[in-house]
Amino acid sequence: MEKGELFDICTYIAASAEKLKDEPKDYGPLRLLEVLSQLATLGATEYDDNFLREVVQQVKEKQGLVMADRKAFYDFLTQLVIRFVKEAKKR
Amino acid sequence: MEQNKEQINFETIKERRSIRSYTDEKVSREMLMKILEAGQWAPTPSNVQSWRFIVIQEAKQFGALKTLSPGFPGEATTAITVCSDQRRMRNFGETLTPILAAEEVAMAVQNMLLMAHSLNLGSCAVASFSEAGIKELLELPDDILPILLVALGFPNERPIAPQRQDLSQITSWERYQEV
Repeated sequence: MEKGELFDICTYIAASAEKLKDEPKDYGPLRLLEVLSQLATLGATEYDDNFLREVVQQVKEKQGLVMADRKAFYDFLTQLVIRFVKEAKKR
Repeated sequence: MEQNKEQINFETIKERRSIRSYTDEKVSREMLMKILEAGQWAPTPSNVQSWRFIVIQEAKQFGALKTLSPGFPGEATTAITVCSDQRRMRNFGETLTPILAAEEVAMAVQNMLLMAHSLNLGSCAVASFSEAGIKELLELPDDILPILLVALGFPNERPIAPQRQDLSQITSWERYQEV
């Protein structure tokens, strides 16, 4: 991980925290997914972690559902957590 | 000829989508100038033209802007910060409120998005950014308010059109009617 990458993520989180108070509620999960994606990208590279690599890809594919199909977006969030729990049991 | 013009304009309006995935190809200066000029030809109250455009492409500045703009699509290659110069607004009297400034910028941005689409570029209007952070980064004077960001680049996706309500649900004639 390069020094600037973590700093950039921290800046993104700070900017999100400031802005989210005025934004639609679904932007909250969306911003957290973005941070998850950025951290998982770093983790996938740093530890050659295939699970995290797949998560990044899945988030990229599914986050747009927030605009098109809210129920499917919420289902995705639930399934994502379940995936993490199943993976945690293997580790 | 007129019918053809109408058809082309309507197709541009209906086909434009907010693009969130881009290739790494850079947007040329020539394209940017067309997009900026399209913005400049938007309606403007009392011809006040309070808009100010700040184009960001240089890597370090662009990276910092992205971290301060949670809604900004990460793969875009160019950003235009569209601001309103409150000094110009004030010159045109008290009635031109901040709401009017936002309306003026919004109309300019719509022109820019449509021109970008006409040039086969992808674009996305972004309101989700830290105003204080952007003002600090771009060294904006107090009177220059950032109102919207425009993300630009070559599209790497073709999103399907989200549903629109039926026109009859949002339109009434002569007076308001609940539908």
